[in-house]
Amino acid sequence: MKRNATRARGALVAMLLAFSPASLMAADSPADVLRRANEACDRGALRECIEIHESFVDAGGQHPDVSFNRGLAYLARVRKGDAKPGDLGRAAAAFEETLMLRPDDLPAQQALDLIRGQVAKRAARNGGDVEVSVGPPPARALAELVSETTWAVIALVGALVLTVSLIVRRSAHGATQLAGNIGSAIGLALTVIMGGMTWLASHERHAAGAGVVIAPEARLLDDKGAPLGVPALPEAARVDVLDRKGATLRVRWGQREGNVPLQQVRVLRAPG
Amino acid sequence: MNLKHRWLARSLAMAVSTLPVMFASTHSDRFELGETALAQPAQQPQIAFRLDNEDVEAGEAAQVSLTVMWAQGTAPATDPKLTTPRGLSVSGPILTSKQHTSWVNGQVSSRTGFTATWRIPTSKEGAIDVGPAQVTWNGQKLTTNSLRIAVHAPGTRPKAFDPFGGLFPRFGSLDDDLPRPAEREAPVDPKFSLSEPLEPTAFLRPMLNKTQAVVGELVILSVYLYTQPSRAQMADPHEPSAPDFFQRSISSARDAGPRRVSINGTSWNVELIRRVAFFPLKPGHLSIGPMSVTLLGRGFRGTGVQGGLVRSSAPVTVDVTEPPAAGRPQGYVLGDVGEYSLSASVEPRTVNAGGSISVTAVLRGQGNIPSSLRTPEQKGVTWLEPEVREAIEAHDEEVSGSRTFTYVVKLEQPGSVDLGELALPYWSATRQKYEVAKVKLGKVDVTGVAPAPVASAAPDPFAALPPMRVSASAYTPAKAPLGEKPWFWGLLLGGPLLVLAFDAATRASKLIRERSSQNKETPAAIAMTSLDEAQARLKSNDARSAIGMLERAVFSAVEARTGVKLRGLLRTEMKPAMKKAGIDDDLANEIERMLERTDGWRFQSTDGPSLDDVKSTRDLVARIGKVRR
Repeated sequence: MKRNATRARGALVAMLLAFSPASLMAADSPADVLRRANEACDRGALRECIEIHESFVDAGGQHPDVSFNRGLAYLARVRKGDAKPGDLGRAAAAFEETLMLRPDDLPAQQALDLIRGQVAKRAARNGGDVEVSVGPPPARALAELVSETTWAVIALVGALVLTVSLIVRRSAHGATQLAGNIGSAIGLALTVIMGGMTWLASHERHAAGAGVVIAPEARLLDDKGAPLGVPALPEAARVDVLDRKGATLRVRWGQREGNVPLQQVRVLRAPG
Repeated sequence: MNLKHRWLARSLAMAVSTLPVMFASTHSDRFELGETALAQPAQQPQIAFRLDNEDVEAGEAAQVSLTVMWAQGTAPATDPKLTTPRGLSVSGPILTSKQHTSWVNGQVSSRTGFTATWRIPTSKEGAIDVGPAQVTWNGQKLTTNSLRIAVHAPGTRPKAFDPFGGLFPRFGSLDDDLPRPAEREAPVDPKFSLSEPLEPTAFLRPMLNKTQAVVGELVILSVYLYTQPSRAQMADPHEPSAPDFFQRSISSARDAGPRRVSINGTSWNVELIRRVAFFPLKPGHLSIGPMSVTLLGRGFRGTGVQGGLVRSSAPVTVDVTEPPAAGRPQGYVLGDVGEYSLSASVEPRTVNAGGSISVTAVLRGQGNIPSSLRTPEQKGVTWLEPEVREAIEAHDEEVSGSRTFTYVVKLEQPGSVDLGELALPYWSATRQKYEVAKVKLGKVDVTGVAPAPVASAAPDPFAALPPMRVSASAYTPAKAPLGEKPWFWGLLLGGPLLVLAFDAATRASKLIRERSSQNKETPAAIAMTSLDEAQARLKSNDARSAIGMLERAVFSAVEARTGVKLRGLLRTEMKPAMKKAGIDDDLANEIERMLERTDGWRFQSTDGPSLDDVKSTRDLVARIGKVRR
């Protein structure tokens, strides 16, 4: 009787777990997504293939290989001649996500370059602006010279040098004290400068999100919805997402800043 | 022109006619110019048969009314009837009770009765003869004349004739500004009651069947016209603006008939004037703007067209959300909400490779029927854009119908091709869950040989890309950067700050010690120390060294207070120096005596100082310490 009661409790717990909101909302595993999506793509069902990838993202999943394949699925539709407006942008967004999750994914970077090249060619054919990528703002460019962790490590080394030098210089005389003084100066400089760069890198990372234009072009608008009169942002351009107000996003691309409708930019989710 | 002036103007106008002047009470009805009235014997009922709106446009309803008033205490009139042309569908009569009190040449008389109203629909330009009307009184049939209704083409209604040629502003009955008695025209419906009228005389009241919906869900807006005291004609309607909605006008409603409601004890007529189906296009707090109309008729005067009264409804808001993300089927398109079913036919079932077949799909249901279907995808099968036909109706509180999609499907691969199924995922608002309407298309036999593929002229810029990845490689989400660790900034700054803090503490400690030792060597400190030392040495029977301590205490006290160093002076020089430094004679003498005693102890006497001497020296030092500088 005791055994039956235990079994019943176990079954009840299993049932509750199976139908818990978490399980209902959880994404399929990346391996399952790749298998099902590849099978649909092999069949020629490109729309279904894309939807399987997008469902993984909608459920909160993140994996560089799934993002990479999602980009290829959109490109497959373009190559088939069945492209919908914005497919190149959506493919670019997928490859940008791949690089955010795995920065050294070379095929993703190559695909991104190919897409932006195609966008530039299209713009040139239509007599438009061929600029498809711009450099980051100076502060971000400086902060991204090395990774944030690298700045932090150098800053810690500087702090260590400063600490040791301060100790040496207190209790030493002559040449040793001179060495302590020099070490203190170097350590202080490293701590202050590299600590500042660490803070700058963190600030830049938090100040703006990332997005990719998924419309053939995105016109920048002012706060009242009127066009700003600057060249439109090209498809597949990576933009900084500064703010969201209702159905519009405040974005920055190089020196250009303005509002765009929400549906024209795909906001990239930060890793983690 | 205010009420009083208008009343006077009307009185003057009435005076030029041949009718006797009659002053009415607040519950009155009277004969109007242009009415058909009967000259009747004194006790017979007074009967008036009239056309309420002389000029109507085709499509509007004309209204005729028969008013019968009999003297109180006499037999009532009953059974009002109206003769109308064959085939004309007339609604009514609607009966309204009346009472009339009048004062004529000093005599007061009261009458009671009713008004029977009929509405006559018109559909084309021309004239309609209605009547006669009749009532039964005291066993007799009392009959009126006929009336002719002039029906004008739409937009050609003539302006109302002003018999005074513009001398006076346009006005109607004398009683237009006076309240009329309650009219029992239609059933009372408490659903439309309000605590207060929204506006005087008439107002529009918008009512939504729901204020919360999901994107694509049907929301019905009904606009009701409340009028008091009588019903009005409408002109110059302005539909509600709703840019965030797709809308369909609902042309008929079972519950469109007039009703009556009581507001603050006053009876109002209520009539449905517009019903629209709205389908929200996006989530958010979405607004449906006001509807406005101009009301024409007796009692409805304002600044609108033809001098009518303009009334607008209040805007309404609908809270719109998306259907839940949980359980959302693949391929669901936001906005597909309703109840649907799919059917399809395929012909022919046999075709040559490279040929085409026709697939006809019919999507039926209620809601905003989607305008496209998900077609199955597979290699060798190409679905072209469909031809779409629709048959959609909006009536009562639903929108329903069907859309027929006719596809041409090209088949290129020989063999038995399973076309798959057509599917439409949708959100069922009634069952609050996702459903999928689907239909299997079955197989088609494709015969012959596949046609040769057509080589594409343009090179594929993406040909060099790798194929899709088949397995998910190991991936660990990147850890937060080192700078995000909570201990980072503490570690970065803590080490140097700790060393600096330790250094500062060490220096401070040394400084305090130095200051402290400096304090010990001041003359004042030496004086006190010496006295303590003398006492200590006496207690240890070292009187000889105590002598020096006592002397030193006096010298240090004088130096500390006055700056005079007595040790370096001769005895004869001490007193003048002390005097010069501000020490008075008594104190100076005592100091001198003390020093002589120390000399005596040192050089002449075998006795030494005692503890009492230490005490007296301590008192002397204290007195020295009080010398004014």
